[in-house]
Amino acid sequence: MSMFQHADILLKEAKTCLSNISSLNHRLNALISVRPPESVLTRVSEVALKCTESQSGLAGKLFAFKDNFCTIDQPTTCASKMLQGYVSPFEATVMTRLYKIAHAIDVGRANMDEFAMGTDNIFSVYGPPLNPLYSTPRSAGGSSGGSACAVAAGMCHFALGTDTGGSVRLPAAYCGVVGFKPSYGLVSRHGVVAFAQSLDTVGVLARDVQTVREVFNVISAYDPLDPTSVSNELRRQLQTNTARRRQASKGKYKLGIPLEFIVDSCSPDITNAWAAVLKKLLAQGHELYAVSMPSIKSALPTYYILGPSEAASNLSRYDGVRYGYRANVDRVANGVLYGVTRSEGFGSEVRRRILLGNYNLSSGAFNNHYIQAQKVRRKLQLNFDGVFSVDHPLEKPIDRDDQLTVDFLVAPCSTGTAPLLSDILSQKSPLDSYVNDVLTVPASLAGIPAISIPWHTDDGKVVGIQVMGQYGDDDRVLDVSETIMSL
Amino acid sequence: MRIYVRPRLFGTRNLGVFRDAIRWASATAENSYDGLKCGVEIHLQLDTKTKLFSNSRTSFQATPNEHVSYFDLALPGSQPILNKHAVLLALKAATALNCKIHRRSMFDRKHYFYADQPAGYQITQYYHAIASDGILWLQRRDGISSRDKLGVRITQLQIEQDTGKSVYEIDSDKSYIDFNRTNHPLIEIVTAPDMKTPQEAAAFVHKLQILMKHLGVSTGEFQSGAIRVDVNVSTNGGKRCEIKNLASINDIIYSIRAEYNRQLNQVSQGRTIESVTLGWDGHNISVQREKEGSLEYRYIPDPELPPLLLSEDIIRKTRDNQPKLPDELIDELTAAPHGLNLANAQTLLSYGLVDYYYASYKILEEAEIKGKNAANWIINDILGIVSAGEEKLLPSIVTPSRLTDLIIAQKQKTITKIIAMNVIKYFLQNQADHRVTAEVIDQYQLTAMADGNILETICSNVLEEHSDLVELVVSGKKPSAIKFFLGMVMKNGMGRFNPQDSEATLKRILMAQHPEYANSQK
Repeated sequence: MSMFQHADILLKEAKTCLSNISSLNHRLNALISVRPPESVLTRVSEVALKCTESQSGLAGKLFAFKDNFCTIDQPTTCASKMLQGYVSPFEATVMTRLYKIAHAIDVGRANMDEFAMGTDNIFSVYGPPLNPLYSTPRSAGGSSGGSACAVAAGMCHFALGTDTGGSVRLPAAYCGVVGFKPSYGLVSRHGVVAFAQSLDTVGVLARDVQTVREVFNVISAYDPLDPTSVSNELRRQLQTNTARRRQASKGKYKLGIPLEFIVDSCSPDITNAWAAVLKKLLAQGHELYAVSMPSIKSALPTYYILGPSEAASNLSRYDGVRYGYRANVDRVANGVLYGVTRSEGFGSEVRRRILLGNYNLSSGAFNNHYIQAQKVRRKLQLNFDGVFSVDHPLEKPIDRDDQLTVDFLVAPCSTGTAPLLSDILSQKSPLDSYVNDVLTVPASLAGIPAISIPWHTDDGKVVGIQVMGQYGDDDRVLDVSETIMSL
Repeated sequence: MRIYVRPRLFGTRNLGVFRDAIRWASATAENSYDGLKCGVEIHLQLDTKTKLFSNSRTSFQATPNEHVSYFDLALPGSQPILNKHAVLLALKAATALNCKIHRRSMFDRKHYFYADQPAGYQITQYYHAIASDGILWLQRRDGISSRDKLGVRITQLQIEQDTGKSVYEIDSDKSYIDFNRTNHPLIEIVTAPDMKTPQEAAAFVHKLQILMKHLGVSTGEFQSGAIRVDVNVSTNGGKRCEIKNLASINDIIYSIRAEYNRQLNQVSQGRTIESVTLGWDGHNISVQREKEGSLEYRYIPDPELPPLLLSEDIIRKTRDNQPKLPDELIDELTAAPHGLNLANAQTLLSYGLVDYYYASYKILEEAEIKGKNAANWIINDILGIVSAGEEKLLPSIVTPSRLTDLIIAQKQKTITKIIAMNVIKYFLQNQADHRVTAEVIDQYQLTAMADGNILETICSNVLEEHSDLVELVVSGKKPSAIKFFLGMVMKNGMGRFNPQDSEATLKRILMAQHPEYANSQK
């Protein structure tokens, strides 16, 4: 294909995306700020003429990014009143990599739950996005609802999100797209506004696994500015592992069904889809095993102790003094310093989680809640180590019976398909939303790679099927994903 | 203990004030501090180029907010990157304090809202500090008087961030925040309540300052805020009260005395001591707020900072590479063959000139020049002419070989002491000139003059110019006025004539011109 033919295709695709944005975004509310279409097309032309098809798969492709990735040209608001108008003086490392290495072009900022706290994207100062798969107003999932919606609605080729307890996988499941959460530490968080730093992971959403893989390859790199970034030495070791394991497995896998993921709250749509996938995998020659990880039962409360505790800490900085929203007074008579600013600047869910987090960190509760939760988290990670057939690269090799181990786990992502927004808004308790995370938080707590793959049922529904692998086995998780998508 | 203070033109201000305060404290005969127990919490700024978790520069009195990074301001998306040099300095401090070094320590967040704390938390080491269980020994010569030896136990040494600075305007409801100091590396040193008098507390702090400056860990100065001291005071086993932010050795001594009295007063009125936080304004002690317990810091290990792991190797190397500590150096300097008195030894140490002195002494020893020349010159003469901070340049500019050349030249009467001092000043002001002393002396024709005729002429001229004063000298009304003439001769002769010759010549001329003077001199 000639350079001009390639450029032609890119421009066509770009125009399609932009057309979708202009016709759909007003209703779907996926993007909370949109780049002027002419500037996008100009950029696409520039890039298309410079790069040949073989050079970079992402050159000239369009992407949306969640409103918690810092850029220097527009406000980064995290869908919060607290950061309205805040323009960061520095750019997130992943944004720089996408702009400068991949030559991808952004179309705008994606809607999200405020400070990434939420499962249905209803806690946004811009209002919720709508799930593009349905004509009735249904949840796009959260907290990266806008990212999933933009990809599903054809507004861009891929999107960036963040996954702390399932915030990339759940919206991907609801919107019928691929949503990938890599191993913790592989993708830089420098310039990503922190919610819970030991859980936050930059994730990728797209309509196919190949695109996800291309984006992952660009953004997965050691960053000296991120203290939690995995070293080059370990990355080389992971690559060696991948090559060796691919050779050994030859495309046939041992897949695990985690028993603790069979929960009562799962709807028949979900369990039927899960069963259907497993049947097809079996038919293709892969092996299936039931495995048990007892600590999974405690995963949800553990997440809701650790997540809010870290969030309460990370959000202490928002006081309006140096940036962001500031109330007329810093303190009312006999009031708490910054009480007014923070009550007015934060939405209800954020305030709830900060209170919950501070409670867990207070000296009375600390030993009983926070410390216990950390111990459970560790146990959970060891549970995963016990079922995976490959060693955790950062741990000492453990004794395991090879017969009872698997390469990957296959499970659902959510307990149901996308709920009606009206049902969510009429919920009595915020806890009703929290239980949605029960299937996604285990992988978050363990820091292992996990992905949601859209599975279309015979009766026209779409369900997210989750694949999880051992820490560092990201490339092979993507391999399995491709296998499932082609079933 | 006999303490004497040498008069100085400029110099050991800190030592002088310290000695005055100690003398006062011991002389006021309030030696009875029965039942008093003090512990101190010291915050020391580490002498690093950049900050603890970001690479903006550390500074003092720079333009406000000139050295601030994204992380210092707690901008969303910014992250901490540990400065290893700060860890090394903390390790050196802990080693010198005989602490147990913990191979694994962690960084924790201490939460509280305040304008000078941008993140809403301070990164410190609460649960697992880098070092603990050390001890610093004081002897009488360190300024304690009630016992021969005092071992002050160091319960904990931890690394932490400094805060920003609030600046208040008079008559304004606005306060300003300067974030230059935010994230400056600190070590906090906490002691057990082993000190039983205000002097002991002051002596401990002073010894710590000298030790840390000697190691290059911290400048240890109060004026720049490099050291900040809080004192815990309890009486007769009661609850302890904390006096915060003491800014000088004097403050430490007087505030402890005041607090001791306040507590005794309370008890004598039948009240129990509550655990309170106090401030000292230089004259009075006052209660500031209820102490901890009501403040929830919500400590949590920092999720982004991995545990600080130290190898056996680095711990051992730090110990092995530790320079001689002040106590050992003072012992050496006061013993043979140096035989300096305590005050002079302490002076050399506090100016960081011990190695300089040793090197100069060695050269003179090899040249077989006997006597305390190096010590006298450095302490009595040179320190008197350099400006504050300039003494740091001595080892590299007025090198031991240049210094000893001057000493030898003066001994051989090639130059006078005054010329030597001028040459030293010249070296300091012309650092690019690397020539040896002899060349400089030659070029400027600074060698001592022995030419009697020139001296005679100068003396005569001086006496003529100031004939009114001559009367005072010869009449015997003010014989010391001859010193004035001497000074003029030294000035006009550009110091090239030695004082003895000059004075002798002046007297000879006067005696010749004024017989009555000649008679009175017999």
